[in-house]
Amino acid sequence: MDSRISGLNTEFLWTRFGLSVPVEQSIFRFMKERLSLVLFWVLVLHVLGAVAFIIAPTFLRDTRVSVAYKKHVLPGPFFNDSQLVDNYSLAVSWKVNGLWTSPINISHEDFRQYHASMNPTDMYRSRLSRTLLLKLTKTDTSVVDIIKRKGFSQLNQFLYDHYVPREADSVKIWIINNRAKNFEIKMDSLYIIYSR
Amino acid sequence: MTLLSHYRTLFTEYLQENRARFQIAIFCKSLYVFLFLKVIFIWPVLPDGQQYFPSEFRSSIHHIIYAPIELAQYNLTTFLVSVLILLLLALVLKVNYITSALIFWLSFNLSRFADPFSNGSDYVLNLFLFLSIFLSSIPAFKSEGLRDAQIIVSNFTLLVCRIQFSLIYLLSGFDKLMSTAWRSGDAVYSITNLELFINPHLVIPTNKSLYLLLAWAVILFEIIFPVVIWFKRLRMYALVAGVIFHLAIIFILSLPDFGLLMILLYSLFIPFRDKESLNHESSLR
Repeated sequence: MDSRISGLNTEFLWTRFGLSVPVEQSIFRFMKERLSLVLFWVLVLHVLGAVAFIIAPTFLRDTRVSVAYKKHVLPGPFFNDSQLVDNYSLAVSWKVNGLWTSPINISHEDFRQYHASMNPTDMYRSRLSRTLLLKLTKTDTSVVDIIKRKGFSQLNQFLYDHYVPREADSVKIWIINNRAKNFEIKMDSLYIIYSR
Repeated sequence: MTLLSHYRTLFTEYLQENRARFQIAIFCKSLYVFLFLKVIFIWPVLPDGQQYFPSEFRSSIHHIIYAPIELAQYNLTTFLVSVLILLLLALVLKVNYITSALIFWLSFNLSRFADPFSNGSDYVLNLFLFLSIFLSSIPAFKSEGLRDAQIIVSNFTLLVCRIQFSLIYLLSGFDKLMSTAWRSGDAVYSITNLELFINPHLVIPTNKSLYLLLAWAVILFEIIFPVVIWFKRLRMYALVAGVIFHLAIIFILSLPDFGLLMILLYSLFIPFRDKESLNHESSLR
């Protein structure tokens, strides 16, 4: 294919777009120059936008564009201090034939299993119980509110499927938060008892 | 203005080069290996995830975007086996638009499907898998001009990957620098008390000076690393420091997926040379 242009005022085009390319160049050369120029400015704008988000994290806060940008284009920041303070764990016990079993800290169980086996599947399993728990503890609410939440029935279902036997008539759960801040730990716990 | 023109010229010259094919292959394939391992290890827990957090589709567009999730809900094994076969194919074949786009789509769906198990590494993986679509230059156009345009886009994307990678560090570093908890070392104290992250086999001494030292080491690393990595002379030192940093994340903070992914992304900066580029360089000498 002959890519040379004939009869086209290319000199005007080069001048118009500020490109110093000799007249009578191929159309592809022209396209390549244009493409490079566009990509250059795209990159400059992208870096400026990213720097704006880094320096001023509240920039365009809560707009859909900003949320999507932070999630999909510039993920992070990782290990943000607000994510490190709360340290939730969940313990469960159940009653069979009038006797309560010793409590099991289910959050710790899968996590310790991961460190014993170094099998990443155990780590994923521990993330599931943590997600179920975190969903329940997202906001400060009363025990009554927690029980009404969808997250509570999800957690309950998880406990029944994996821990609490069919013959158990009552269940006791402890939601413990060891809040580590200002070089001290403050423990906060929530204790719920309910019949199956 | 002269400086901008200088960088524009450098940028234009960089875009015309065709010497990063091997590096692109290593980079893309390391992401595919990572995704392959993730699928294998996450497979046994996925049914649980769907049971307690079932995926919901709110619009007809969701049904198209998340079509693989619908397949997974119908038959999880078929979905996961398809992903694994595609990944194996992509590892054998040259990096191309079709497999790259399919892998990104499936990975994006897998992350959504496995949302209860996800962390920051999923977002990072999907970002780079998306960019990898444009790193490809196969199938190539017949026309030489369009082929050159493919190479320009591929080189541009490689540069964007490197910049994006640096920006991720810079974002975390700057956020920590602005945080009182990080500057005082309190954040490290909080981390040592994260019972579901910190390695239970480790004994970390309670020492405020140690926390302060570690916190500043992390802050400085995350701010200096993304700058130093661009200088050839210092790159290898930066990469070694980075590998040590992420190995610590893997073993101390129990985040094998995040740590491993970040180490694999270092392939963006390792100057791999294939036969073709070595020949090209020797012909220039």
